[in-house]
Amino acid sequence: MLSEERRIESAALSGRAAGRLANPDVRDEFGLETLDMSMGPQHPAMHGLLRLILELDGETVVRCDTVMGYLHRSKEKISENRMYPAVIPITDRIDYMNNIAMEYGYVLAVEKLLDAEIPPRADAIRALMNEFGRIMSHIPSIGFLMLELGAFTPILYAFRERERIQNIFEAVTGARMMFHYIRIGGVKADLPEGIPEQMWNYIEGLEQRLQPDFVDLIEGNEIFIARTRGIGKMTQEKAVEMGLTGVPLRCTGAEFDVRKHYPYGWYKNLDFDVITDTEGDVEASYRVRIGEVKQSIRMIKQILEDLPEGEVMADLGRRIRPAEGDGIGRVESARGEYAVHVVSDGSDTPYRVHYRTPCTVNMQLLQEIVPGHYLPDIMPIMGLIDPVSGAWDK
Amino acid sequence: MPPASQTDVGWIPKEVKKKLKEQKKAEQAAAEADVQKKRLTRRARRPEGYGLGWPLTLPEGDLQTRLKRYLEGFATGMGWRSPRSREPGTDRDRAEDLTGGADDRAERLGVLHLSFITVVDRVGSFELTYELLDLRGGQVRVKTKVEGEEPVIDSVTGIYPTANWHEREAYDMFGVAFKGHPDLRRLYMWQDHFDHHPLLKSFEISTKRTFENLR
Amino acid sequence: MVWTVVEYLNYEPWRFLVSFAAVLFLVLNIAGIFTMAERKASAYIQLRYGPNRVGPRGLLQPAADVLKLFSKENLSPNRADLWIFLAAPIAMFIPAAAVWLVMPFAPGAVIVDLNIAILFFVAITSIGALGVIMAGYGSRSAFSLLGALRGAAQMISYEVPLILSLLGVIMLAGSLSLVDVVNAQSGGFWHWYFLPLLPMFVVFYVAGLAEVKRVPFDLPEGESEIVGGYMVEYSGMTWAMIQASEFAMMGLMAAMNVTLFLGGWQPPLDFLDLGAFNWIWFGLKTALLTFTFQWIRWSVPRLRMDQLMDLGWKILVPACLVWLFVVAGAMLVLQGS
Repeated sequence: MLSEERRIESAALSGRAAGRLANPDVRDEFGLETLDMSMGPQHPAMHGLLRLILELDGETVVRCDTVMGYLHRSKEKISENRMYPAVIPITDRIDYMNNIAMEYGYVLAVEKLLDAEIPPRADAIRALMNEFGRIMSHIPSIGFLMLELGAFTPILYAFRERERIQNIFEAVTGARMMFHYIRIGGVKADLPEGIPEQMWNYIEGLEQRLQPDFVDLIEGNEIFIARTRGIGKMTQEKAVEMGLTGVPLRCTGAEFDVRKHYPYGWYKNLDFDVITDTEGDVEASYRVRIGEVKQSIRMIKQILEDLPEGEVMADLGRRIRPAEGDGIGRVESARGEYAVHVVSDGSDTPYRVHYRTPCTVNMQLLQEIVPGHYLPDIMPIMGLIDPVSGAWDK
Repeated sequence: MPPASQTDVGWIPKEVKKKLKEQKKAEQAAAEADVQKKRLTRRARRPEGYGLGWPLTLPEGDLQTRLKRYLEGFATGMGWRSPRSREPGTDRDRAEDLTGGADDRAERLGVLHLSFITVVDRVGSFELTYELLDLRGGQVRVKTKVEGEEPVIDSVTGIYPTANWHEREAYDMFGVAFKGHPDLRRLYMWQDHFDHHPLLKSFEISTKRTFENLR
Repeated sequence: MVWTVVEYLNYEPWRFLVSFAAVLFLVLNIAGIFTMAERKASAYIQLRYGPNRVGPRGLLQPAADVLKLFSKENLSPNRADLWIFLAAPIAMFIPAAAVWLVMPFAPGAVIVDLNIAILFFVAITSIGALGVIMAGYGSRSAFSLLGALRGAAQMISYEVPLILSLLGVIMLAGSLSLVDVVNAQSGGFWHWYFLPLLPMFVVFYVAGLAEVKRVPFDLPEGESEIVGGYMVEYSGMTWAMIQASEFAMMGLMAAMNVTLFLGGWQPPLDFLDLGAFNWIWFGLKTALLTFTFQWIRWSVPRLRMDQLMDLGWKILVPACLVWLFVVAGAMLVLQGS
């Protein structure tokens, strides 16, 4: 085994990164030591670049420390040095699975600063694209959950759906991933000819495929149930205390959705349910995600049926220079409450931009609920939170 | 008195011997029970003083009193300046909505939720914005100012456990220290060998662009 | 002339050398073919094409893979125990190859007709666990060590139901020789042992899956948990050797399943007897079982360690024991002895 010298060295290494020395006195009654394990940042199940410093007692985790910052690109600092419209592509790269919501939050904040009136068609298109973005994020996250449980097939089915939505996005925005579509005052361009019909066809098809390709393949599987039921279980009080939002909060039964309770844009006109579950474990989060995809389909149909006519861009002038003050844009991204706080000093560039990404907050859950679970249970818990590296690191 | 096993006496009367034996037995039983207990609790064991160790009790009272208490607490208890939640130009707090919304739905989950903490570097002082949500449509924004190069402010982790990482982030990016924080480490940046706080206005970046010529 | 050569080859030591070469050839080919089959099967399950660039319909992909792996550098961790680290792939490969020596491929086509062939199979496959432990211990990595511990626990636990399910076959056939077992199943598929020994067939199938460490029992590898487990530090040809031994082991388990429960080379109906070409039946059945392995692999997630142990000790072993008594009782009643 490790020599004493090496053991101390590695303990010091992991302790230094964690900001304190690992406790060397953790021995159980049999005189056995625990095993320190550094999981990540290069690890297939860490949703990007996350490092977990684990202390293992056999396969049971007794301590879990989260180290992040491996993908920190200082979006907030960059945003301070760019003109208002030029920040939008920066926000695209925060949550790269659900970019459109990231743009939406920032644009809402700036529009609040400007007190701008948005044409109804632009609002409707924003909501439409946002819901497509949610499907585009939720379905792969179900796939990722299965991938981390060891089943490889659902992820490819999920990416097939994502690919098809990306085709639609490409036709609308010109890009497949970093859209830069929602602009201050509206959207970049109107929907091209024939795209609403294509969207409708796709949504109809997805509604039919959802049951056989995802629900039937996953839900009744005994192993899936054994691996997810009761794993990562938390109470509603705990979830609220930890400041969770999005699916991790809703799967405990707390009914909170920014779209419903802090409505913005076109969501005031839409009829949809907030999906909740009572269990608060990984299986519940899977059910909530499937339910939300169905709700998104419902919303997209409503928007497409009743798409208002008119302009898609408000005339806000060429230069955007809001008055002094702060504006907050809050949207429901696929991962929870995403808020952008823009502080203006009356110049061309924001004085300060703060992104409240749901992943950063939801990931506090890891060090809270992972201890006591087995090592393989970390992966479904990651699937429950479903963080994105770019979003937690900003 | 030293434990029975360590007493060293030559000749011992029978009854004392018996007593000592019983004492030893009881000690052994206690030790065994301790081991058993340890074994039972082994899975849930966590090193002392680690992590988020606050008592898990939810705030009491109905929504309006809680809200009032929070605001008073911010104003007096935490030693902050007066909350400027009704400052013009910012979002209006919607306390009047809260009264109307305190139905059974709001009661079911009527806890305020700390959305985020924004620190703004107003060169020379720091402005902290606490965005509080009611999760039911109400929102409160509390602003406070701390002076100085190395500001210290009380932590709110006792009220909002979720503030843990928000405050770590603020400490990392601005060097604002939070008194009473259970685990104040850097969140993103390297813990050692990096003495800067990158979001300070004094932290220059090489590609800084100014738009003076546009103005 | 040819026959004299053949007869000459039938004597030691030539017989030994020729059969050794034949087995090696067979095992390496099986590894290649199964890799290819696995990739194609998974591709069709997942609505992909799979490898389709090298050769006609991508059939030369395994050869290209081997070439690539040959040209790769063999890396070893800084503080690895080199002897153990390098010996582990060999220790894993030899058992996967050796059992083929006693496998009856067709009537009369068996390299060694060992009268304790089933015991030989059990004994040799147990060595595989040793290779896993060596690999995990020699790599000196926390992930490898965890993988090795998991692998050892799993393989040793699942030996028990595996052996118990073999007892039924031994009782029915009255012999430990695989040739005798196959001969006892002649005369149509209703004589095959999977019908009277259905629970044991299932147990053997499941335990075999666990022995070869395939999904849902691939915990020692645990791609998303412990990143490959005991083989995380291997690269190039050492990795290829572990991979090859795993695929050969999979083929071996399928072939063993066929031999013990599905009549070996026996045709399903008597008039389909192909004589010396009965190895076609053996190959078909083995391929079918291998496909079911792959089908399972690409459809279900993996179990957790405690659930795996529960399944082994609380379900498979009792089921086997109960059916053992049922079979014994039935034999007592029917044969009266």
